[in-house]
Amino acid sequence: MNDTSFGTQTGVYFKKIARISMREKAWKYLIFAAIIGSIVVFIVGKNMFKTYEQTNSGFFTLASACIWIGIFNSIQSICKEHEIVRAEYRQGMKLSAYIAAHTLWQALLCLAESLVVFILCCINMHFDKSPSLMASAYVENFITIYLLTFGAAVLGLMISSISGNPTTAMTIMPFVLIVQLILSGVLFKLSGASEFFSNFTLSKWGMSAFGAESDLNKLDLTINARLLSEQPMRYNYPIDPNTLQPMMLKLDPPNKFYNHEVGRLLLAWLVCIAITAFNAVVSVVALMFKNRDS
Amino acid sequence: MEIQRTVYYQPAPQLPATLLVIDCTCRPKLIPLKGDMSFGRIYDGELCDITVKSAITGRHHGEFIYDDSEGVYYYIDNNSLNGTYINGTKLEKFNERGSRAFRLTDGDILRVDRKTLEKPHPEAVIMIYCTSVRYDESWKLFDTRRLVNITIGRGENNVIRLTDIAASREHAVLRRNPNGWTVFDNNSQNGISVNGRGVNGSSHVSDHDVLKLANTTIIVFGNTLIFNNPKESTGNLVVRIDRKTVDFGRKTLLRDIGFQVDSGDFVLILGGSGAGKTTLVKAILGDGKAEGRIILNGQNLYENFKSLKSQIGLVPQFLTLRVNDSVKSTLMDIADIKLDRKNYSKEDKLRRINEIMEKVGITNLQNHLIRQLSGGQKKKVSVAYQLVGFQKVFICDEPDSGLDAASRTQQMEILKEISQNDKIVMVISHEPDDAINVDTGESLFTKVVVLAKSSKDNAGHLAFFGNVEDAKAHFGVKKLQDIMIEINPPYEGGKGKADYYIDKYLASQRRPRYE
Repeated sequence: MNDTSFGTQTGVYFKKIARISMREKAWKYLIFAAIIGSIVVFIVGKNMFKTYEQTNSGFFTLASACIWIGIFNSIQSICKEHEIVRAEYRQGMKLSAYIAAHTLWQALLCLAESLVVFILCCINMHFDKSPSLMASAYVENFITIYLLTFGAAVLGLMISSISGNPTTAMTIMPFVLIVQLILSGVLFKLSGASEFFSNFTLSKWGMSAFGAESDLNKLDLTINARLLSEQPMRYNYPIDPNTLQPMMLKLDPPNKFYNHEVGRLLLAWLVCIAITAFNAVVSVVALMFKNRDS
Repeated sequence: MEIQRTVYYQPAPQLPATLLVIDCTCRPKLIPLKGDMSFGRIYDGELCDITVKSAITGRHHGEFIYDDSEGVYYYIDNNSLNGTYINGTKLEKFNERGSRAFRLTDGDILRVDRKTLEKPHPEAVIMIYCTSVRYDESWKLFDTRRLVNITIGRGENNVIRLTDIAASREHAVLRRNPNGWTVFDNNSQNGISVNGRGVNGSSHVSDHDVLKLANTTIIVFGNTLIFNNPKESTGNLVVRIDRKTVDFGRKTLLRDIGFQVDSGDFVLILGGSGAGKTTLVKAILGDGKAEGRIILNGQNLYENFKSLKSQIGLVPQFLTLRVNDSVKSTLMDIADIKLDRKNYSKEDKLRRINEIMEKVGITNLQNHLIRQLSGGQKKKVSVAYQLVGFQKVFICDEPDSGLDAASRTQQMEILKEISQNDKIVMVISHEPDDAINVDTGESLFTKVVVLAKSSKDNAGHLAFFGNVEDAKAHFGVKKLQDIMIEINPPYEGGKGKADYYIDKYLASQRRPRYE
């Protein structure tokens, strides 16, 4: 009797996870994604691509929603069956195949969820106003939504692998989400150690991808937009808007992570993929450590 | 279907000496040799230790003499009328008392016969001295009257199918000839010998000749072949735990645990709370390694953990299966993981799953989700799940908990059946008296391990290891569960005699034992 290969085991576990997930009504995750997506899109959608702050906040909310949806998919999937994993590991299960199967299933589930969120975004977020870098703003934004959701799902797998039980995992989850929000660089200006650690967050690189793709730095600040929209007068005569341009407030310096460049967008995506791969590896290592005596 | 390679024959560790005796009744008798023993014919007067029905055997034909300095047996012919032939040579008279003493070794063939050994006397006696045959090994009689060719081997299509894993799948053929038989060696890995001489290609076989194929002995006796079917010699588990500690060595959970169980054993592990049952199980599984060694099939589990761990299966007290998967899918998935595609096709795996489900009695539940099953049914699925991978050892942690009395007995019967397929099944149970044969009322367990917590060091010690009857005698109880009353502390409703029984068992182990 020889133990089977990594590929075979991954296939067996993928089918098993898919089968059980369908029995456990995995479609409810799609409904959940639709609800979250709807709330986000209909609240922030109408203000997208109008001003820098509004668009920045809109993308930040969208990125946060993606991270929430992804992490919620998988946060309990491994920790609830640690004893099963231990028993199967004794029987010859390869932990790498087990994590690979979970990752593949999450990839599929996140694809469906991303599609739901993306469709909702298309309805009310005016991606058509977003300049494209490579092919289409729609495609580029969809890829970013997908990478964020999938990356968060694998982050959830990692937390689930480390946690001893579902209660622990659910306790850790809000802290991880808060860290993601704070280190995104949207809410606070980061410097020193916090800036360094922000490089390991999906939220920062997700925002970078959204910002670069939509050329966020080019959008007017809210104060400028208001100034222009209110028809400023001098000695009861309206001022020519062109003469006001030098007086407009500007970001100093502009956020380099939002530079409208193909390289910037690709870098953001690649870092998201790297963080996802790293989390998958940590999941395997965590399970190996947990089952080191088995 | 398990396809196992033929292993190279290695003489088994020396077992207590036995004598296989076949006289004109053609009923093989396996007689344990216990010190000096006389051999002769049954008659009205004084009886010898080993007797046969044979007119050509003397009333005091010979003697088996035990030399305890070397632990070997000698045979002396008492100057009998017809003499004794050992491996084809007659023992000659040495003095007035008898022949020279012949030092016996495993497989020596002793015959009381006439000179023309190839044409044996109808009342000839054949005896084989064995130190490699278990006393409880079964011997089979095979009628050859209608057969011209007899194929022998481990393969399914052989006329005589052997279980000995040192026998090749198509090991040999016996072909009838006008003067007896001819044996042909099918280029087997471990070869054949006839009367102790190796066969090169083929050899003539006469009546009363003895063939040896690895661990299998075949005796041609008229129109009958008499042969043993040795069990695989791969199933024994030796537990030697010197100490098991936790908290960086500050707390000792187990101390001085030592026993050996063999394939086919159905072992009960008894012990009060805190006596170390779970710790012992974890140590045997390798989950919580102890100071000492666990030897499985002659290999140290702790040193070869990666390769051996899958041979020890655990049926846990609480379910470790995915409740939203069906029974069949659960079993099929573990078959896909454990049985590689090279040796097992999809059909082989399906056949094995179906066999296991039938054996465990869950065929009718195969399409049910595990969460839909009752507690007893879930435990059966857990057992089936462990059976898929050909494990040698099963450890079941309270497989009968939460079941009614009838289900407990049935569950134990299933586990007993599993043990009879050359497995070792070890069970922690708090209702050991339900594990009985319903027809005879006898316990299903073959061995009992009793752990008790010593008040001297607060660690679990071995308070007994042996068979069920000896366990009851050791503790002076009529039921196995009454052992708990003897060893449990008073605050748990017991008599608090753990230290007494630990010391008693230790003392019994120090006494020299004779078998």
